[in-house]
Amino acid sequence: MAPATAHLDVDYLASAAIHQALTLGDSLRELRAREYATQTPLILLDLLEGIVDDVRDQLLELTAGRPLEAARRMELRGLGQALDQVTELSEYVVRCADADVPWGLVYPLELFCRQLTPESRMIIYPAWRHGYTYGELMGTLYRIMRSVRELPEGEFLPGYPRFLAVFSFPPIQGPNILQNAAWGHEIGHHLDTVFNVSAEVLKAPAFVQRAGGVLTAAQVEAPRAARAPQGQFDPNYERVSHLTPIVKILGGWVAELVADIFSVHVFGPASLFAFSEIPSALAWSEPSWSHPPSWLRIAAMLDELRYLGYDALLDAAQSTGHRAAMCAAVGERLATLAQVAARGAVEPATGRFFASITGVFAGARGEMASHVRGVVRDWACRAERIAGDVFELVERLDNVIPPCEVDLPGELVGRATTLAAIVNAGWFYRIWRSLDRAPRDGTEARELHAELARLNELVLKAIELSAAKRQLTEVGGGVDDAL
Amino acid sequence: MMPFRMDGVLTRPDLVARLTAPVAERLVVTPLTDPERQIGSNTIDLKLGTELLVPRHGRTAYLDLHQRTEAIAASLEAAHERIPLQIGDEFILHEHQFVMATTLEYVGMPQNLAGYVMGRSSWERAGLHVRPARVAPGYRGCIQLQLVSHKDLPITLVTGARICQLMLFPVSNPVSSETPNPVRARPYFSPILDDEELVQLQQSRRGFILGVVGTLASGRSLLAEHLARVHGFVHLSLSTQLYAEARQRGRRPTLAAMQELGNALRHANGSSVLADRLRGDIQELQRVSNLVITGIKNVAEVEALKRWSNFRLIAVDAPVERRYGWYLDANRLTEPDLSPAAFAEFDRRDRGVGEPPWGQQVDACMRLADRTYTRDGAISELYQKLDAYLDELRGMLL
Repeated sequence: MAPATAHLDVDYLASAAIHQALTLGDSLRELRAREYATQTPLILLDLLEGIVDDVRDQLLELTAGRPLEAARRMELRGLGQALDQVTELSEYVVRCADADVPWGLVYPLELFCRQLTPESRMIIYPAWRHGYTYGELMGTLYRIMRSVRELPEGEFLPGYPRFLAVFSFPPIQGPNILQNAAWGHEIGHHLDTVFNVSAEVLKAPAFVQRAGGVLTAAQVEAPRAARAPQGQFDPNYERVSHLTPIVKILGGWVAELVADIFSVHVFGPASLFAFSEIPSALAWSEPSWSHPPSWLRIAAMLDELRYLGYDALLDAAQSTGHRAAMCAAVGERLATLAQVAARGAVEPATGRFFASITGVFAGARGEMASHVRGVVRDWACRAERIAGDVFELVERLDNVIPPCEVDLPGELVGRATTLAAIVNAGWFYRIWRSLDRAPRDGTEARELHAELARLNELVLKAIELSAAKRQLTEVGGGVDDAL
Repeated sequence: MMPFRMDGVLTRPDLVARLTAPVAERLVVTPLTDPERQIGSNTIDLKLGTELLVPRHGRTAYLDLHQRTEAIAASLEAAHERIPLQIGDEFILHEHQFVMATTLEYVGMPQNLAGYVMGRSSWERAGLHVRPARVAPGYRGCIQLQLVSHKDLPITLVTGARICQLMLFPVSNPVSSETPNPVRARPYFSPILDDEELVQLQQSRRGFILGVVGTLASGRSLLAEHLARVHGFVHLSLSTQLYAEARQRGRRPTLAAMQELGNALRHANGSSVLADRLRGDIQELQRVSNLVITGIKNVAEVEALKRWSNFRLIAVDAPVERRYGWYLDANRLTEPDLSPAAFAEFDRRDRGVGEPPWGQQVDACMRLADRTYTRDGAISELYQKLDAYLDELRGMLL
């Protein structure tokens, strides 16, 4: 009787899977019928429906000669898993349709993604649980497809975008455009996906040599540290425990630092300020399995700022009036962050294991920066490039005018400016006017909150208006010089 | 704000001069993407912006002025859908449909100019009506537009299209506002809740609100009880929240604990927080009854309550030695060992000596009272005085 029971079991499972495939197909068609205005969810739907159809056909083929052989149970299981993954990914279709994201938030991300790879597509959505995250869906979809149909390895899907970047942000930060300069970091991850910057860094001879020397001894420590870093449970441990710890950590830290350097390279000090004001950055002062300690990240970002010439720009002695006061305030903020980085460098890291890994990166920041610069040299947010604009734009903010263009004396039409100049003007104004000081009491907190909300609204509007102006006045929407 | 008078309409040379003036006194229209076409002989054409507020049908009344303010605000929010668009996107305005939008351009009005925004005649003839709206001196933001399709035909709108025009007039007696104007960068809901007279209208058919402030143990609670028992008032107290907080934190509601908690709450949330939190209860309960409110300690609380036009404040005081005796009589179980010196210290603090701006300020509150009583004998004498005052109030308010 035993074989018969097994056959019945598999038959029932196959029947349930077919039913699931048909239901999923109907649900996807229903989603399509909602008349989504943007193209990205339709592309995603095409791909998901294609997978479901493949799975359905294979299931029917599999069950054509009933009873089903128990030996084909694994095949059935693989198809069932593909359906589960499609179900999971369907959520993105709904997310991108339901997300009420202002254009001023969408534009910067879209601009960069399109510039990195013109054939890219993007989904952006508010996520209550995850906060700022980045993912790439085409790779995932390709893997699912390969599990159900014959596809050559290493090739992407013809006729479809090469990359489908997925960004999420904390919904409560939606209107907080200045804080959202932290998105530069997530775009940095996309850069990494497209150009394999981390992989290049990891295999660079200098990095390998340095890592190899320092980590040989630490390798012994790794398993123990993985179980209980600093005597506490590390939530990231679950995610990385199945991989060789040191290699995984190195890869993770390089990816994070590459993204940090990229964000400063293209957005200037705004990215560093945004990073330093994410409340959870405090919790990142200790290294973790996925992220380097925050002081190391700040140090890498400060290195890049120096490379871009911000030390000279913020030399208050070279300026007068408001501009001198602004330079002094922003310079002081950077000096405070430099102290954080310096303190972190001299204080011992948690445990020998992390200390060894941190040691590798102390000398590798410059190499990582070179790799990033090699890929996006044209977008460098150099101090001299934005200096002329930022101070003019701050004057606009001071007069409650969105900093979307630079006024030209006696002219009706202002000069277009860059996204980085707009966002940095917002941060410079915020720091100069001490809008992020600690309030004395609840009343002052509310006043500051209202002022910050107004500033954010002006900057958000400026991004939108700047984009609109380019689109209405320049050939091709002017995206080439918006960065 | 003082009324202003509009003189002649600004013509093209005036408009150009205003648009290119130094930033502090400039008429800002940004971005001006096509000035040749946009600046007419006496108007500036403006474009349709990238966000719409579209009314949607719901299960509740859209605007019910009998509701609490918070509930009205929530209804407004629920009754609209925000639709973000990009430049060049289309939106179909169905026949007789109403939507709210803004101009694409951000407009900054100097204090010496006012204006009107209205539809362009070409679009009006095509069926799109832009309801004329005044643009006040000092306005900062994208101009709010109300669009209606006035034909029995749907219209396809395109963001970025020039659908309306701004006509400007000099103001002969400009006034500058000390408080910064709010920035209106997106379409926003009806500001109907900002209408003070709306609250007054709601109150005109209501009873009145009597606040009782006074020194420690002077008889405030007794007066409130009298109003409730004899005159049917509903008693609300700002201290209720403090008692609840004390319970939550597992603390006994002693004088010291209550003073500390009150200060902490006001410090963290603004000095008028306790009065603000009563707003909903007041709005609802005054529809059915007169109200008496006790537990007032800070001037900001008095100011918040005085926003209700039917609010009156009475103060009560008595010599400290007598109040100490009354306090012990009333609190023998909870604080039997309170010494005269300790009571005097609590009293000084309660009156505002050495207190921060968010602390106890009973003396300052009493100075804002409409009527002050000194209790030097039996409480019944105070009741008589209060009853006489109530008769006066009834004559004035009802």
